Amino acid sequence: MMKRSHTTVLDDLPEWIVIEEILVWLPPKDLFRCRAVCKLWRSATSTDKFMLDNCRRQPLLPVITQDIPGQEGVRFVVFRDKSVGADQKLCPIIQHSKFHNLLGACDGFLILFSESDFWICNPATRKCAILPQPRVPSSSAGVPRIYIAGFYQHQPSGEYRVLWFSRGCLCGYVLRFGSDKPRIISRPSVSSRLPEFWHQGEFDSCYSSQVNHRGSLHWLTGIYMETAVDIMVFDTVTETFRWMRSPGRLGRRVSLLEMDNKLASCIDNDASIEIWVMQDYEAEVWALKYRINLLAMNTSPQFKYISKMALLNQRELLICCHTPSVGPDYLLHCDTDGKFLGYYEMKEGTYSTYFTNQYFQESMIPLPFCEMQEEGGVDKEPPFFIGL
Amino acid sequence: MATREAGKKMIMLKSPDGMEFEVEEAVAMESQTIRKMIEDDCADTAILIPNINSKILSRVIEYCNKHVPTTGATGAAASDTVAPAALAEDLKIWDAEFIKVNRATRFDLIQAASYLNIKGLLDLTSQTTIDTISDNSLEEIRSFLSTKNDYLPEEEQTIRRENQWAFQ
Repeated sequence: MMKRSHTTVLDDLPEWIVIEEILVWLPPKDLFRCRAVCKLWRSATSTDKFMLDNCRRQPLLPVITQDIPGQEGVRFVVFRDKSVGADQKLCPIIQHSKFHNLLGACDGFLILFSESDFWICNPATRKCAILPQPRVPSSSAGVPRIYIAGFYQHQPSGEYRVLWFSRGCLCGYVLRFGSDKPRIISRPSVSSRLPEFWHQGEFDSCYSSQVNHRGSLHWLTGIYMETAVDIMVFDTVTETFRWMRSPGRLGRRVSLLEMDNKLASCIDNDASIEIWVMQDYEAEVWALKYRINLLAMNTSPQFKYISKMALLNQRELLICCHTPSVGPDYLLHCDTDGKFLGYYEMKEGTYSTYFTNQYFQESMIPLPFCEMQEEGGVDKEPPFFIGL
Repeated sequence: MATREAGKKMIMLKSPDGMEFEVEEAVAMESQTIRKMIEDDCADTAILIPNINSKILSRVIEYCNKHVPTTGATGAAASDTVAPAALAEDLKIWDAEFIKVNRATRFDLIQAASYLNIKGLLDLTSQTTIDTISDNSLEEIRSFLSTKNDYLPEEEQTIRRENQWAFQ
C-alpha cells in the first residue's frame, strides 16, 4: 500500500467543492487527464451540466487565420495571452485547412466550409464530422444556395441548432444537429432604415458574426454603408426575429461584442477606436464608454493602418496592425483605457493575418451526433487536422 | 442593529466556537450569502456563520475589510489621492501575502469563500489548487487532494487510452 505524506482527512476539501469550484475551471485537456484520477471525477466531469459550466468558464479566444507561404490552405490560430512569447501566444487549433471560411462558433464547436461540405469540429476533443445540410425545395432558378447565418444552443431543449438562410429567398431554416429535415421560419421583415438594395441582399455571418447575448443572436446589417444601420436579433428560445437600434455613429468598420455582460459595439476610425455599450437593453440606449487613441500609444515600429480588432479578457483589445513596407504584421495588445500591454510580431514567413470575427471557447462537449460517426467511421477524410 | 460612528451600520458575525466579530455592514456584504440575508431581512442583530471557525472567519473578515469598495455613502472616496491602477497593484501585493498560508488553511478558506459566496476570495484561494492539478501527475494530484484511486489497473489504462493525447 502507498503511504500518504500528509496526516488527517479532516484537512481535505469535500468532493463537491473540488468538482464545482476547482475542476470546473480547468481547461478540457487537463480534465480529460483528470478523468483517470478516480471514478467519481470521471462521472462528475461527464454530465451535460458540468461540461457546459466548464465551457462557459473558459476564456473567449479570438480566432485568427494565417496563410503560410509554401503551404496549402490556411491555419486557424487562437491568441492566448497567458503563454509566453509571440509564437506561443498564437496557438493553432486547425492546421492546413483547405478552406478559408469559419462560419460559426458556439460552445467549443466550429463550423467550417470546404468545397461542398460543411464540417463541424471540436478542436479540444479532436473530433469532427460532416454537418448535414437542410434538404430544401429547389426554386425555379435551380437549387437555392444556402448559407449559415447562425449557430446556437436552443433552450429549453439544449439542442445545438444551425440557422440557414437561402439566397434570394425570404425564408430561413432551422436545423438541429444530426437531422436534415429543417423547420422553415420566416426571415424578419426588413428594417425601414435599410436601403432598398439591402432588402433582398445577402447577409453573411462571416462578415458580421453573431453575438450571443441574453439568449439572442445579434448581427449588424449593412456594415459597409456610411449610414446607421440596425441590428438584427434572433431569439434562440422562440426562434423569431426582430430589429434593434445600433449606436447610430458608425465608422468604416464596426463589430459587435459582448463586454461585461452588455452588448457593445466597437468602431475604428483611422487610428482611434470607440467602444459603445448598450446601457439599457430594453430601451435600446447606447452610450460611448471608451475612446482609445492609438497614435498616442507609444509603439515601435509605427504601423500604417489597422485592419481588425478583437476583445480579450473583457477589458482588453487585440488589434491587427500593418506596417507600410512588406514587413510582417503586428498584433497590438492594449486595454480599454488605452494602456499599452504588448506588441507581437507575426512569425517570419507568415503573411496575411486575418481576424475571423469569431471567438473560440474550449469545451469537452462531444459532437451531438457523434454516435453516428463513431462506429461506421467518417466516409470522407476531413480536409484538415485539428487539435490544441 | 447596532450603529456606531458616522452612522456606519454595524453587524455581528458569530462563529460556531462562540467568537463574535463586529463588522461594518458594507464589509459583511462582500459575502453574497450575508448580503442576501440582510436584504431579505433575515439577519438579526447577530448572524451565526456555521462551519467556519473563528480563526478562518477572522481571516475572511480581514480579506473583506481590504476589498470593500472605498467609496463610502458620503461620497468621499478614500482613493481620491491614489490612482486606481496603483490601488489595484497594492491589492495584488496584499492578496499575494494573504494567500501565503498552509494547505489546510487554504482549503478551509476555499470552503468558507464558497459557503459565504465571496467571488474574489474564492478565485484567489482556489487558483493555487487549480494550478497544482494542471501541473502535476495523476499520482501527485491524488496525494494532494487525498483522493483514492478506485480504478482497476486495466480500467485506468482504458481511460488513459481514450484520451491518449491529453497525456502528451
